[in-house]
Amino acid sequence: MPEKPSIELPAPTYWPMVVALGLTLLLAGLITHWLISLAGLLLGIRGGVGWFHDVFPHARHETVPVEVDEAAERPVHTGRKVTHLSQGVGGHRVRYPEQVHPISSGIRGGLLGGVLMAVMAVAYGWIVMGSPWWPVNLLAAIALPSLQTADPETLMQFSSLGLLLAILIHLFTSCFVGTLLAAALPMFPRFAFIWAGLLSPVIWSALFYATVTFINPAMDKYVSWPWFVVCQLGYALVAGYYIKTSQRIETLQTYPIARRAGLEAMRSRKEESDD
Amino acid sequence: MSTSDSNASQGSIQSTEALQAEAASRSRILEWIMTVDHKRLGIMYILAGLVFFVVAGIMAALIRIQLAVPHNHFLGPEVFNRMFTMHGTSMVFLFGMPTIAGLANYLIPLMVGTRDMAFPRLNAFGFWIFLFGGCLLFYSYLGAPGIYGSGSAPDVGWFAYAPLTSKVFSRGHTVDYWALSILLTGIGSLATAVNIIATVFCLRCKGMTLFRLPLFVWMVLVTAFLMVLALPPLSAAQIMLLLDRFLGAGFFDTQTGGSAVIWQHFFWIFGHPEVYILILPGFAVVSEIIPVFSRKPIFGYPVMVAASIMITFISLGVWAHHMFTIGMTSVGNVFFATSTLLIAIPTGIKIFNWLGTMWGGSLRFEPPMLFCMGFLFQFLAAGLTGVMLAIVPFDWQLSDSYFVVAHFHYVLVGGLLFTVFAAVYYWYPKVTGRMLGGRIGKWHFWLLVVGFNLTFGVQHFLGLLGMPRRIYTYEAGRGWELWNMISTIGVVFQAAAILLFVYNLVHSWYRGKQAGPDPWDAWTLEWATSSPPPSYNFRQLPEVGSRRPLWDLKHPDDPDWYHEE
Repeated sequence: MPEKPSIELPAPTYWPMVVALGLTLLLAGLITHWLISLAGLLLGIRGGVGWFHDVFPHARHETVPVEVDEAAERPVHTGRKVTHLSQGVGGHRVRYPEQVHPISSGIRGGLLGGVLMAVMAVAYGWIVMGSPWWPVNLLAAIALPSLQTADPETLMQFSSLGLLLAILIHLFTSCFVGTLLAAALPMFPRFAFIWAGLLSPVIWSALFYATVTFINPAMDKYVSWPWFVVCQLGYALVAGYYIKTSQRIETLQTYPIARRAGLEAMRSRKEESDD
Repeated sequence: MSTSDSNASQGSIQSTEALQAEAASRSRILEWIMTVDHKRLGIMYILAGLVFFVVAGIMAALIRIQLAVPHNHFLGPEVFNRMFTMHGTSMVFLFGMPTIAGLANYLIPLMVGTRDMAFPRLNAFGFWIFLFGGCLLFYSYLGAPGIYGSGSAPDVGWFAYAPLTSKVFSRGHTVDYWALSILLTGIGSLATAVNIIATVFCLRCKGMTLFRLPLFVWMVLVTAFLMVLALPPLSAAQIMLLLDRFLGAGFFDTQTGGSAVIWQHFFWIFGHPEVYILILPGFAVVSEIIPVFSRKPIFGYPVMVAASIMITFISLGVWAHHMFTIGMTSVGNVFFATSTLLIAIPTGIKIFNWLGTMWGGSLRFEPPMLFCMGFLFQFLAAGLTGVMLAIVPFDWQLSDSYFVVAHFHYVLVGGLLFTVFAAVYYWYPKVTGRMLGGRIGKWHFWLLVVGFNLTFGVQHFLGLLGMPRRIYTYEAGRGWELWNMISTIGVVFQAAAILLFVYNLVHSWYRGKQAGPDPWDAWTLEWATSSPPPSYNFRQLPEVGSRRPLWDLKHPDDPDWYHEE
């Protein structure tokens, strides 16, 4: 009968552990008791002698029988080809949206959300603070230094300049944020409308909270943050919903690079596949 | 027939029957105590590291509970000081270093196609001295007050600045426990480093030239060189500190002609390379996992090797950026700021190469890959705040603030810890023969991402708002309350993530899906043997012809060696 295949490996030993313990005790004795150092020294010497005999004149080995593992011997064969993405092909790893919402839908959605936000803010001012001009003046304080240092009494009074500035700021911001939402919405994961409606206002409210001290000290002092966030949520949900329902337009991402560079009047992949 | 190899052929061989009888008489525990097998030692390193990680993690949670609200008295100031000292020391020396040693021990012989490390007994010695060193550190809780009636665990911070460590300010033996245990674990780390270098240079299988080494091996190799260069200054400083405390040598005592600043130089000559000692193996893990889960070879292999070597050299010359506030000369400030900025170049090269590897690949978002992705984002943030702190006037403003705490936790938790988890998910099937649960792994990942960023992201703001580190409580009304509360809430998510991970480890050990030898369809040699590998690793030592030997084996029609230079 043929002898079973085997391999020689270094033999197990506890001497390295004994030397390590000895060295540890030797040092630990410095802060505990000299007897511990003495024990460590003796252990270390004994361990060193044992270790020496393990490796001199020849290192000790043990023989390990070889177990043949057929599964491990058999290589796994897999497909050689790596699937590369090409521009315009749909899929979860496509970086740029193929279709986007038009900018006009962002502006219209922003205006719609802005109207709701204004109603909510004024309603809060009227019901809680007793004056509809309270949120108007707080917003206008961004651009009007006299309102930044005004007391609550003044902030509750009507100011024609304050109203004009607040309307301008609110209009500009509503349209601007609506346009950003329109641009960002196609890049959100699934349930983009919910993401945009709930997550975005929380993020920009946090950003505003962190910077409002410098932008608008009056608002920092007097604004009700819970209601502020609720107004932002109202804005984003309305604007996001309006933008979501708009007709999307195709971007240049689906076009061949030659057409994007203006070299050739080639058709997009979608146009080709439609034919 | 006996398939002896170079490890064994010259040795004195006892009779097979006698050795087998001796082996059979050993209990399973004794087998582990006596083992010199690199795989078992690797597992023991990682398990011991995980135990210290859990203990130090609990300390971190207690620290965060204490800081959740102003004027909290959950922990007293002395206990708090001990907590952050033991937390920092344990995480660096008893979790980070041994976990890296464990991964290196387990994987390097398998990856270079040999049967064991070059010095298997030295390897065992390294593990045991690390473990005893760690135990000595924690014994300080019992030993320091128990025998002399003063002191407890160390309470001087993980970098133990002089003169706080002098006898006048630290009575009893608290600092001595710290110095001795670091000295012991340093000996273990040096033993491991020497072993890694010898193994990589002397025991590579046939055909494995240096430029065919897996990047994991390359990066651990440069880490080992860094350890050999950086650890002796630390050990020297520990011995000088002990001489100061026991014999009044006065190295760090300004009143006897010494210098407290010298301690800082000694510590950081070790301490900053230590950051790279910890993160380079993280890079190593990422460099193995990203190609496999992108189904593409690593992008720019030679440049990755060159960048690792550049990091090694540059990291030896940046230490004093930890010391801008001590009042160095302008030339000193400019030199260390420049060298610190310089290190961003090879690090940036690595990040671009990982992205280049993923670009156009067929990505698989399994847990190992998810943790690597988390690492990429968080380590980038860490790198950017590191560049900010390299600007001297900025550092003057934020030194010793929570901004610095946030920065280094983004390096060590967002960077290193995430790669350790990536490594565990990737190689657990090789070690145990069973897969870790993928769904639980994804929960683990997302909870940790949320928890980590909640805890440490907001600490940047705390630092900018002026909150100093190492304070045990604070006054209300400074704008710190909200951020501290958020930071503490993040710990709950992190704790849940770690509990899930531990459950996954234990559950998969018994019930995990069988992995087979190569569950990820990977390309390096460790996947060429069974899972778990036999004690001799390979029945026949392999021969390789390219950087991806398993690719060549699986695709003889299109081998890599045909394309590689």
